[in-house]
Amino acid sequence: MTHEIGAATLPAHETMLLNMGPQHPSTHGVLRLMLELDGEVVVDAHPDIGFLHTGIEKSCEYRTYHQAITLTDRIDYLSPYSNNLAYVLAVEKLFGIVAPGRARWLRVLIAELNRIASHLIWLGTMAIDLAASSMLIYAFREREGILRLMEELSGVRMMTSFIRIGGLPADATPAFLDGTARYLDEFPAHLQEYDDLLRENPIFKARTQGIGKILPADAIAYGMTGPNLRACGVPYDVRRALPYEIYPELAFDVITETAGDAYARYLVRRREMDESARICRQILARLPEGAIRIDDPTAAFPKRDLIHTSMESLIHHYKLATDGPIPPPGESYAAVESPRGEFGVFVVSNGTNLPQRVRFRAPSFASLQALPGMVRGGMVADCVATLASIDFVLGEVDR
Amino acid sequence: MIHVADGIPTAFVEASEAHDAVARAHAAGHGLLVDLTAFDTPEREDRFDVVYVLHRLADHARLRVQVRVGEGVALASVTDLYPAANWYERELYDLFGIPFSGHPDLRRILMPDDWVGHPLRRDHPLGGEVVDYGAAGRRDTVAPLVFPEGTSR
Repeated sequence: MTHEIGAATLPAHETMLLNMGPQHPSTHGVLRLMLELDGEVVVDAHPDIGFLHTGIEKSCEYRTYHQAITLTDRIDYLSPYSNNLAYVLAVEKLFGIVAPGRARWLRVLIAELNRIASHLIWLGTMAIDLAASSMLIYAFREREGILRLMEELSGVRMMTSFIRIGGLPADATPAFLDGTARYLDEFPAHLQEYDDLLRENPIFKARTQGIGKILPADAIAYGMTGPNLRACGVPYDVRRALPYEIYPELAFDVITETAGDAYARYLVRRREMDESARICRQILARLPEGAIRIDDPTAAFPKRDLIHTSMESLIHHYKLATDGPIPPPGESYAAVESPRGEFGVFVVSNGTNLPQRVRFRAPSFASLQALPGMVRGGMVADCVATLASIDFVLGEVDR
Repeated sequence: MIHVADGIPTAFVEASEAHDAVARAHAAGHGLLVDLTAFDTPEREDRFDVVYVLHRLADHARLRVQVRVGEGVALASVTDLYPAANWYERELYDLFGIPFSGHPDLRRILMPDDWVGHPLRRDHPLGGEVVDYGAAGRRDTVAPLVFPEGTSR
């Protein structure tokens, strides 16, 4: 059976099949889209995925619970911290442990900085897909600031893996916290620059308004989450719906729009950057002192200085580094709101040091499935705008 | 029954009742299919656990429906209830070899069409090259690859 969504299907006569991708730059990676065309009009679209399938879920079954953290970075490589966090939360649920206060605040701070960075990339690449190339330069300039903060924090710019089961590997340095505060002071002025370039730009609006429309009922039926769903007026945000870490203590709005088109998705992500910056400011103002990792030798690494002075800590460290932590048998699902929607991790433990199954529920996978209905009946050029506005990452579609 | 560590209410049902159980949840307002996945326990006769995670947007209630099926046993597709299930079921067919009856387009989705075997089965080899470091710590000996019959690299 078929489900028609969005624009009506046109009668198929004398159509042409056009391959878009997998090397086309506007497919943001390696998506192959087979377009059935009647002149310039898209009659149907068939996404073909799997070109970036790297078997991360399979690889996780051959890594200890700690080792797999670095694999999760590579799923959605534009917001690695959401993946890290969801995975670690699922494993922590298996152990029945909760990270200490300061670690939970810092985790949310890093996750929100990552959301800003991811939305910036999306803003720049979407604009350049619509031939507004200056936006890309602006967006990457500000993203560079966040990458430098990540380097200060973890030593790595992108694949930070700055998280451990039961907390964080190290405390945030004063340079990171000061740098973040400075960054957030300057950020609103940059957002104003983006608005000046795009928000009321008649060309940008003509390319995005009414393009790639999806109705809320269809978006839900296809399992869309995140900004794509909120742009249709459904206020579903995992941070509010199924709160994790310290989100209940923070003040922020769930941004929604009603149009459900590419421009609405732009507005949602643009305003979400305001909200993420607001969250970061609250965290910097209220960041509690204290431990950054729980004191539980079965799950979390002991403090570094203890390893040099305490024989037990050295043994615990050795066991965790070689065997890895061993959670009790069971299954656990944890979800976070990644920049693209609900990123979920389902972990099944069989009581050994290697997981029986690690499953990543990728928001882009669901969003991409709804694509044919969003481009049907539109023009080929609008197909590019629709693709860009969905903000998918092939790394997490194919895993 | 497996221990559920995340507190999501979980219904364990028979394979023949899976579609009905999901349909009841759908009728009760769980309109968002969050996830549809599986895991493999090859030591068991009914080796696959298929897991549906369903979400109700009105009050953000979650529900999980979990089903055990054996090798080659087809589950009724839920694509009639959730269009989102289309790709998820294709993924399970591709990576685990679980067939779904009533699916409109059941074929591989992530792996190449000519792939032999189902990679996420526990008895499918990881692949890659086994490096034998040897007693003297030599790093240049690469052991020959051995794959079980019927599987491909």
